[in-house]
Amino acid sequence: MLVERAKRNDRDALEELFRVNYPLLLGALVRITGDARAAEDVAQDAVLRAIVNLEKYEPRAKFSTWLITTALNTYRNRLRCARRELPTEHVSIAGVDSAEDLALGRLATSDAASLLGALSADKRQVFVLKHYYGFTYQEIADAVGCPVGTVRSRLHDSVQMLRREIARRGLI
Amino acid sequence: MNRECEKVREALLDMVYANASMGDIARHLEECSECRDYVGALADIAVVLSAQRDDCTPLPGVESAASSGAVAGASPDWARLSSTIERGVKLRMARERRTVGIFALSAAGILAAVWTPLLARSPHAFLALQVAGFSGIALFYLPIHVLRARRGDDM
Repeated sequence: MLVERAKRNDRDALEELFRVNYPLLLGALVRITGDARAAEDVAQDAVLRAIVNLEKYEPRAKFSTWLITTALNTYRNRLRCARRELPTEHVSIAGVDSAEDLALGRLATSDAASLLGALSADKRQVFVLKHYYGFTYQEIADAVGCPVGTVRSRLHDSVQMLRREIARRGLI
Repeated sequence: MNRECEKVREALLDMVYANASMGDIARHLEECSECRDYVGALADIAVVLSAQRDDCTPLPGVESAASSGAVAGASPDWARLSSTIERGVKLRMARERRTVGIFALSAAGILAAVWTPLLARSPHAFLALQVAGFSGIALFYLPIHVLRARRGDDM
């Protein structure tokens, strides 16, 4: 198995494993962060962390699921750092409450992702993982670090918000 | 919206994402226009977002990015990925070497602390202890070795 070979530091297996899963990881992060460049940075960090901690991966979950979970942890850490670094006046002037919402400002200008930009960061993570990647509720709960009930309610709220947004923009 | 609506809407999410059965849901939908409307919303979202679902540049010989959930506007930086993998392997091996080094130093420290005084007092007792120690280690690792060999792991 590819992962087992990779765990034994087989360079070819590692290359193959990450090259196969990288487009999916990057796609998920672009949708979640709304910023292709930031997504690439987070994805690279996540790959590095995943390689170093490859022993922690257990094959009962799909490798891509584990990789995305690792990436979301990396992303959350980066956001925490960004929030600490973000000056308060910047936040109030921009009328946003987090560094991620600043990224969302950029997201809003991109046609492909603008609809998802209507969702808050927490809800968008949940919705993207469910809608595009078919994660189970439990997998999403593990990935975003909240209870399954919260995942369900965030997903439900996302549907309601997207529905309103679609109607507001007259997309259907 | 009543309690049943809430339950049914949760089930609708499951149904749409292929996790649940249809029985009660279909019956409720016949009676509840709000929930029918909700199904319509889910369908609308699927339609709008699927129109936005797109491809990104896959690596030659690697599975299609569309089937792997990639997204438009995201072009993987393959060269950077290669160097990240290289860096990861180096970090990994450095960590393994560090772990082995720490273990070896700890073991050497313990051996020196326990066995040196013994050796100074009685060489025969030292020899007996050495035999007992190595036998214990062998007995401890034998089952692990057998299990790993069965699983096909390298030692």
